[in-house]
Amino acid sequence: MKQLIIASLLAVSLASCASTSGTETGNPGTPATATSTSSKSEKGVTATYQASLTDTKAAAVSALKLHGFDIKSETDTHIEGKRPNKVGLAVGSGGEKILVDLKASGDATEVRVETKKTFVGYAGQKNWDAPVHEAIADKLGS
Amino acid sequence: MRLISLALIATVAACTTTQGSYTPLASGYAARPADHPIEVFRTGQPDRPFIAVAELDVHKEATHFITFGFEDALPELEAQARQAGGDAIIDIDESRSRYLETSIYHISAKAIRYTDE
Repeated sequence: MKQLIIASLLAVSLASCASTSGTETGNPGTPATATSTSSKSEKGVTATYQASLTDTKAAAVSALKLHGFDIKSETDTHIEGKRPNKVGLAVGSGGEKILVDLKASGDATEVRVETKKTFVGYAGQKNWDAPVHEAIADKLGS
Repeated sequence: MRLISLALIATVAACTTTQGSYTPLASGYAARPADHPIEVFRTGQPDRPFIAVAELDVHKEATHFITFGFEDALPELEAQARQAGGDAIIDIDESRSRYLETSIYHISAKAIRYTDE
C-alpha cells in the first residue's frame, strides 16, 4: 500500500511537472511603433495599440511566449494559451489559461487579454493580463 | 525510506519546464546537422557577412526556488539555431522574474547564417 502511494506520487509529479515543448511558428511581421491606451473591463484588460492587426498579433504571440504560455490555438483575431502546471514545495505554479482577442479599428488594434485561473494549482496562479499587455507594448515599441 | 527519498528527488528534479520555439525569418535553408558548431555572441556581432534566419525563444521555469543561468538555456538555443539552418546566435536578450516559489527565465535571440561560405 505504501509503495502504491509513493508510485502514485511519483507519477503525478512527473506527469504534471516535467515538460519540454518546441515548435516552429510563422513569420511574425515587422515590428511597428505604437501607442496604447488601456482599460480594465469586468473580464480582462483591454488596450488599443496604434499598430496593424498583423503586427499586434505577432507582438501578442511573443508576449505569451515571454510569459511561458504554450499557444493552444490561434486565428487572425483570437489566441488561446496555457501555462504548464508545475508541482512545488507549497503552491507550485502554472495552469493559467489566457484568451487574447484582437479587433482592428482603423489604423489601430484593440486587444483584450483575459486570464482564467484553473482549479488545479489555483493557489500558485497569477493574473497575467497586465504583464501580457506590457510585453505587447514593449514588442510594438510603444 | 529509500523509495520516499527517490520520490522526493524525482519531484524536485521534475518540477522544471523548458519551452522553446523559433520563428523563421528566411526560407530555403536546410537544418544544420546535430553536431554543427554554433557560435554564440553574448555581445556584439560577427565580422563575417550574415543574414538572420530565425528568432529564437527559450523559456524555463522551476518551482522549489531553483534558479537558472544562461548555460541552462544554451542547449535549447543551439538546437533551435541548427533547426533553422543557422551558424551563430546574436542579439541575446535575457529576462528573469520570480513569482512565489517559481523562478522564470526567458531568452530571446536571433539565429544567423554566414553568407560567405
